[in-house]
Amino acid sequence: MRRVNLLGLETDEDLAQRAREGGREAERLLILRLYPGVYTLADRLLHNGESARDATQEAFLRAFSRINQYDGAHRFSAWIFKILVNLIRDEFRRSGRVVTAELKPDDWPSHDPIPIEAAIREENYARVRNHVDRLPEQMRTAVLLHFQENLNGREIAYTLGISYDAARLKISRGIAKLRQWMGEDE
Amino acid sequence: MRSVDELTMYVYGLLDPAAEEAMKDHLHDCAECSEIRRRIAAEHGLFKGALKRESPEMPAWTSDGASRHRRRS
Repeated sequence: MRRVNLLGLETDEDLAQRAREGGREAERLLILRLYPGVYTLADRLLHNGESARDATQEAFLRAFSRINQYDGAHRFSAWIFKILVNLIRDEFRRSGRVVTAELKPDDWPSHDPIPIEAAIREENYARVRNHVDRLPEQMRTAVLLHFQENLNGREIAYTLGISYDAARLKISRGIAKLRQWMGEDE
Repeated sequence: MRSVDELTMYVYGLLDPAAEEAMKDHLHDCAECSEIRRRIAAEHGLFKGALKRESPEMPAWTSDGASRHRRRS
């Protein structure tokens, strides 16, 4: 698929091409662009900041050490998410390095007064995130990739290594479960 | 009248192009489905807001590129 660049900025895929040719600056720019999304997904899958940081760095290391394998058939971000998801599934869980974080006092929500609408919104957001954590792993990853990263069904299928129909099913079933659980909270 | 599942797939952009076009035509004529679509869109906004990307602190290695650093063991 041809990606049109209307603002004159290099796309991630342009940068990936330059990185393939040895462009260190292109590699650095890609990391700066993609780190927040890759880290956020890792953190939401691992529930541990240190493990998430390690997984994120390892995902980038692997990506750039095998950048010649990126064929441009999907967005570069989908490719690196695929590396991250495989990494988490195959290495971190198997090695038992993942530790579920416990809430420390410093992590507790602030008691500072905040406007009521913002408080209600944050409460609803927290409920959504708690329910997302209840989803089966692959369904949770599909839902996170959809909402957090705006990946479409085909990109999610590629990232998870499943068929397009299976990816659509995981997203729609995930949404149905969230809807059900949110309704039960009422 | 379309099912909530179908309307959800439409709002979430998960329908095939032909089904999406058919749904657009249907919504043009069906006030009931249009109202459900509106509520699903609001729900989509809630989920999207809750799961938006974080802005993490960028570790030092990100300034130099991945190739020059090895992950600490």
